Amino acid sequence: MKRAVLAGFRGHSPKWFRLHGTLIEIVAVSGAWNPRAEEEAGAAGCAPARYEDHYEMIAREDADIALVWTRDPAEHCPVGRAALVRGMDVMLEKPLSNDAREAEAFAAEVARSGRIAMVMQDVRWQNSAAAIKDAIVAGKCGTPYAIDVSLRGRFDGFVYEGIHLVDLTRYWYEREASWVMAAGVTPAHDPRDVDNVVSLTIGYDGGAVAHVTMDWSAQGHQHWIRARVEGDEAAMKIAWGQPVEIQRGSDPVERCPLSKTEDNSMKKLMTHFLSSVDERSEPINRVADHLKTLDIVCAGWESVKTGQPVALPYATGGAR
Amino acid sequence: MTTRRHRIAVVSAGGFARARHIPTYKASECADLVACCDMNERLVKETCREFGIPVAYTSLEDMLERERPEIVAIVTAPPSHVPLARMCVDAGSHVLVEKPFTEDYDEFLEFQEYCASKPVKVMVSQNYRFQNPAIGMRRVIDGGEIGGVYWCELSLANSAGPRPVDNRKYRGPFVNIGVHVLDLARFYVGRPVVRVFAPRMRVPHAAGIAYPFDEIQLWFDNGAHAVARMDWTVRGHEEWITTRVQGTKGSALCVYPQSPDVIVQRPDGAESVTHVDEKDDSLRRVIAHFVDCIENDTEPSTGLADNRGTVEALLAAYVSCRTGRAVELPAERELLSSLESVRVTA
Repeated sequence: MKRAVLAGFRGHSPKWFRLHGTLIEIVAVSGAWNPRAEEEAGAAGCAPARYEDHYEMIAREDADIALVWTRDPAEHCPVGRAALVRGMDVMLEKPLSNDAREAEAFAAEVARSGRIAMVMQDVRWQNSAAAIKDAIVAGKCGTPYAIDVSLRGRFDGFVYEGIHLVDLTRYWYEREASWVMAAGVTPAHDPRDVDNVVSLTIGYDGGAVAHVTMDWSAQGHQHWIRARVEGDEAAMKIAWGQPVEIQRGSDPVERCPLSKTEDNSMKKLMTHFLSSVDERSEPINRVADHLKTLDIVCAGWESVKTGQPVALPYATGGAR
Repeated sequence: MTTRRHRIAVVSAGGFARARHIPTYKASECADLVACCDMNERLVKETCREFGIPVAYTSLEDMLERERPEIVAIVTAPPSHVPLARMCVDAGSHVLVEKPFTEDYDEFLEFQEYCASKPVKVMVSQNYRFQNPAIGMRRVIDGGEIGGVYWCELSLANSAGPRPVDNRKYRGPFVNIGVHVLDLARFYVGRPVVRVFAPRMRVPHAAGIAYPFDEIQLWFDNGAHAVARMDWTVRGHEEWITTRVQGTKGSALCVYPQSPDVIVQRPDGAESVTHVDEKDDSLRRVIAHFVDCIENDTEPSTGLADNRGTVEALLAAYVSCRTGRAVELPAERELLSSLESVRVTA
């Protein structure tokens, strides 16, 4: 069983303790210990060494893998780099960085190090995302040409949650994005100093388009992820957690239930990561792949500022 | 309230005139349908006989001279709108014309200027503004229920679009029904559009060709944003108009025609429903509004001054799609005039 260190306790990271003793052995943690981490670790029978400083933990602990889950994305690459230097394989929370150029430099370091690095775009691994993907691959809608995916509610910002939606469009299309146009709105009711509604239109090779709406200003009618995929033979739609609904013309709607397998994307991710580590193979969510998603997001911010579409690749020149 | 009945004539005996305009005017309490004109003699005579219209014409000039209608409803294809409307204005008739009024910006501006000194009114039939959902949504907005509007989305997904007869001139669904969702976005936000973007894409059409975009994005001078989406290629899950308007105090949603009600939801989850409890006959309301404006000498809500905003946004969308860039408004006249001319002579 791989020995793991966990740097940071952002969001779902305490849930990693649930894999302790089955997939990994968490030997040390760093960052501000909190009651939820205490609870999760206790329930798993895990008693890791505790550090305040991520770098001290990495330097002192003898581990196989590092899970980098710091709250600030600006720490992901530096902490990840330290782990690579120490000889660890690394899994990092998305976004890899707020700065696509830093992320690109990190990707180069990963390549030079020969270590395995993976970014946690976990929504791809959820059963709903897989159901749409499976339906597309099975030709249920023909060739997709328009994807509309949205999320509305009081969630974290675009960089944290919206990036999943962008990643889903890449995952479903499996084409290269060529431009992005974005709009950002800061409504008067929300004091947060960010654009609270962000809409991205992403142009994909072949003239296909994806519309992404990430709205965390929503004052009502909130919802978790919903998607609609238009193909040249049928249309599909899904509300996360519900069956995929496929309709060809005016035929009766075909409902494809989600997989009955456990819908635990963190577990699936970890299993895939460990398999990649064992086989020394590139994981699906490798850093180079994440760069493309991150590049779309960064280009989106640029588009919000300039009011013009931005050609891709934008900040990660040569990443394609 | 109108004070008397007005003599109205219709130009076109085609499908939409027969399906909507003629039955509406026949049933109107404020108009008498006195004549119909169409170049197709057989069709116009048949239509007049079927609907009980007194006189059929194949020449607009003859109809205007002999009937002297107070109002002429022009229900022909867009390229013919301005030439026909000009003839009516010259004859002293008020003009109700189908949308989009024109795709030729120079033509629009010239006509608007021409009409400025004429004692007649011109109204573009953006009749979706007069449907129950739009009336309900405006009530919600005007009543302050959702606060200031900062985000608006309208989408229409349908497979019933007409088949283009000329691929070179076919610019997609916004020439037809789509211009309504564009106009409604302007109507709900109620501010001048300052930027337009239409993403270049390839939407496969049932007839085997592609149209260039299915979405127009609008930025307004107060920072609000709107997305107007219109796709009539869909191969399933057809939806008529879904409208979502977000304001600083709440969110308003209407899924039409499944329900004509506007559902307002606030941050605390409280909901309220706005229901317009009237027969949903938008064209009847259009003609009633137009007659009211004529009698009271007021500007129609979708008169030339207002409709110019919709036409400019539409033309800017074409420019945006062609150039791959967002277009700032107001734009230089030359920019919006740069489309291939689609003018025809009357």
